Amino acid sequence: MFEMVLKATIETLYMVGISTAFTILFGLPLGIVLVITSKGHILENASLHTGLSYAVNMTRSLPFIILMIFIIPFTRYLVGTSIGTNAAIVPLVVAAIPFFGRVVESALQEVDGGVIEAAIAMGASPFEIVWRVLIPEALPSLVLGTTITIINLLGYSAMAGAVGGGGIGDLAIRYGFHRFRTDVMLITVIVLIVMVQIIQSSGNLMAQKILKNRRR
Amino acid sequence: MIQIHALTKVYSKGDQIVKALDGIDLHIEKGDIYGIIGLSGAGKSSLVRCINRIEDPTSGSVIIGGTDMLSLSGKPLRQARQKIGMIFQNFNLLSSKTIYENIAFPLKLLKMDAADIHERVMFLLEKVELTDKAHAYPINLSGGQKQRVGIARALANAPEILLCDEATSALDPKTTKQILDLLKRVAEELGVTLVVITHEMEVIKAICNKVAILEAGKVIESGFTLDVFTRPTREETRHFIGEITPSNTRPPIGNRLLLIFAKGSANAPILSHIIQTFGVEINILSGQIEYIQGETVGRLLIDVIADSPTLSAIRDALHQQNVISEVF
Repeated sequence: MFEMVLKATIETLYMVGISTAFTILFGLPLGIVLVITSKGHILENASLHTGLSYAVNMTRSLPFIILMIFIIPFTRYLVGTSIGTNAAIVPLVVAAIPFFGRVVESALQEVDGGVIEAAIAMGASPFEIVWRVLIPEALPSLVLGTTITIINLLGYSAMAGAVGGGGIGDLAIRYGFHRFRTDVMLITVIVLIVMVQIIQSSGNLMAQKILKNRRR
Repeated sequence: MIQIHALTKVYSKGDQIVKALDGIDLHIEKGDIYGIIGLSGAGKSSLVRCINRIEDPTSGSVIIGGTDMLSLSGKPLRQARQKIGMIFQNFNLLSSKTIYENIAFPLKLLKMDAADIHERVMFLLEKVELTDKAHAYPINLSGGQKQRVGIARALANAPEILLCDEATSALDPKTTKQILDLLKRVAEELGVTLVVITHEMEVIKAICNKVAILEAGKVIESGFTLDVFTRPTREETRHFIGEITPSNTRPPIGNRLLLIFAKGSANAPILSHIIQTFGVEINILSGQIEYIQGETVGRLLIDVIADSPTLSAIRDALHQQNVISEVF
């Protein structure tokens, strides 16, 4: 049983790890574009902002389990199958990108408008403002937001188990639920709790470290 | 240096139209410390932001050193902005960067190499007397120190113009004085032209050689600070500079005169000389002494009991002693 749990844990870590990377890759730019195209910001663009905002809301309206099934054709197109760990990554990323986009948006919105104005006055380009002002200034919030996103992905990944995605959720459903193995259920729950604790506390620690540095 | 002509800025909020700037003409020369004063909502902030195009005016022109700022966009505009420093009421420092990095920020935008940046930043830190705080973060600095960092950062690119937007409004009187002294000093030492936006008359009196008074988006009076203070031409200006006006004093006994002592006359016993020479009785209603740019300006509101030939003789005598007299 130990081997089973270990294998499932590694699968979960793999799914969450890869989908976190893709989520940041696409979600960070999405959040940045949402902020800088908003009213009064450095690259105000009402139609782009509204369009993206609608798309984000639409994707976020779907419960994960429905989204997962709904995009099966897309998943098949990308990875060739709709079953297995790799196939689970696709809906995970699709669900997490708009979520993370909103997380990034709210973090970057908190950057003081005066600081952005100062950067504009110094002749910074929009790219330089994003890269040298918005992201560094919002870094602690971004780290905490990423932590929340990873924990969300962990939860989604357990659901992905329900459709044969592998990982801890898969184990819990197949053994804990279908075979009435209470011990397996208990262990999967413990593993999940431990994972969430570790992710959350490392996120907190990182954010605090950044803030503490700035008080030196 | 800076020529502003017929500048207007109109905001529309729903169907409400607000004229923040309504035909502003200003001519700021190299080396000026040009004060722009007005109550909040008078349009000062919009005006200064139209100079470096953080805001776009609705119409008019802003010409800086021969370049039409309104014709620029994209990279040329950003390059033009790099030659104009700006400091803010709330300092607007980057909390994620040390003092050193904050001052280095505009130089990094210029892609200057690290050794040159280091030399320039150390020079500026010394100028603003913050060398010991180089590696501290803004959160650990007092308001005055933060503004000194703001000044160093604004001067990093060796700009010809420094825009100061309510730079001392968040500071206590003592710190305000230190910051004003520093601004005046760097303006002189580095040959920077200052545009100073403020709602505090004290700031104008302390450092500005010229002043424009802004009210409801219009310049209602402008010129050399000393002239505007000693010879305001409009009733609004008198109100603005806190002068005694006919409306807030009791009716005169005899002839009421407002005497303005400038050009050293505030230090001489002129009034007692007048009393002795003309044998008249004088009743002093109020008086004040101000220091404008190191010069003493006195103001005295008096009632003189005298017939009109004597009165004009008195006014001639006063005129000879550099005292301006106005029938009030």
